[in-house]
Amino acid sequence: MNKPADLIITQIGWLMLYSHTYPEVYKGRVNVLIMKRGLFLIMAVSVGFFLWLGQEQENIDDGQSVSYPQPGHEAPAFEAGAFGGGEYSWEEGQPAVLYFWTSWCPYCQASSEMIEEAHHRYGDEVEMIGVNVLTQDRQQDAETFIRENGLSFTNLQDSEGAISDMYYVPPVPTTVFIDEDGVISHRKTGAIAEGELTSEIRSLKGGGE
Amino acid sequence: MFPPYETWTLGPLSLQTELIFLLLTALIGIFTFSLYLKYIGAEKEKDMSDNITWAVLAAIGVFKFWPVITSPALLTDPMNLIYFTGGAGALPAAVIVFAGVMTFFFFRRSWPVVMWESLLVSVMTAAVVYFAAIVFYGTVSPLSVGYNVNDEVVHPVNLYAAYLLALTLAGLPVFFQRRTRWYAPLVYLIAAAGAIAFLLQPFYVSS
Repeated sequence: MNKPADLIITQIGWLMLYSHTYPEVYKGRVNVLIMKRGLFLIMAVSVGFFLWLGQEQENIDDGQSVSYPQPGHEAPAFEAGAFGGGEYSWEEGQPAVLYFWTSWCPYCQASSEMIEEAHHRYGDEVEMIGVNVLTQDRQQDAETFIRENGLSFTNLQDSEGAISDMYYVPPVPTTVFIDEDGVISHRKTGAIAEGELTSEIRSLKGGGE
Repeated sequence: MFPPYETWTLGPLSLQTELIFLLLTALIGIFTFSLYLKYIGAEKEKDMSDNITWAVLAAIGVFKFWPVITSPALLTDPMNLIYFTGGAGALPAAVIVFAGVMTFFFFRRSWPVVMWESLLVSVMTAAVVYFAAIVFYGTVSPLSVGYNVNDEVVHPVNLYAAYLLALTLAGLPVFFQRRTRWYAPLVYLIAAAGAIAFLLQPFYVSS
């Protein structure tokens, strides 16, 4: 009984007797066993595949993200006419806060005050760029909004909605934080409070005051 | 599947798909929690099912009013309670409050340990639905299969996550039919969640 062949023969004998005496129970247990082994095999293959893929990923360059308005990806480039005249073209190189707004939105009113304050405080190091979603607004109302709220940072006219479409706006307000490498570090939909704005701007500056 | 920032317009309301599915998955999580407790025949199932709703509401409340909690000066204008939501630290705070409320009830009402297993199952089920619905673009992929963004193939990270989480959940009734050790399913779920995070880490874009 010590030989492996004897053990296997004994096991098969017991299995045959068991399956003959309790066919339903036997069938159920075999099914469970097959399911367990099958699932375990699928899990092992999946883990192996993802480990292999992770290894392959390391062989690719560092420039791994694409241009897409989601944190971690490169911010899509844009250009538009500014309120007050002139063309503006954004290029990476300086941290920026891209702020989409309309004149009729009360949330934008609350956020605009925060952005203006941040512009006065951090404007030398981080550029604040307002984008008026003109496809959802009227130019005259937008100009009144800028004047009444004393907005002194750059504000662009997104007349055709090209920038808004690229950044999946509306809803407004939407604030996008872009670091000096042109990568989106954070995105906020809805009014932005001072605490969040300051914290994100500080992280754009590398954690300084 | 939907891009996270795409909006659905309902009359005057513009709702982001990401937000809609977050709310939907919260409901699915609560429903699954209750269903799983019934499935394993847990004691005090009714009490646990009723109180998870309070924990979820407390977490949503903390997330919503986080700007006012952290900057009470905003209360000078009561409209700020409506205008501002979330922000830095709001999500971790909401999760801590949720876990805190559940822990409080767990000790106060002597709930069985199986509550934590049920909680993990419901969170994972909700995550499967969320990841199956909302697109997350990962890093550029060496494979030819994936999402195509600006002529580059990127990892479909949300699908990877949904697949691995679904596989983990499928293993629960198969590997732990007899439930001889109460902690085994819990250990299995925690270990699987850690393994999934580790396996998918190379494909996430880091901000």
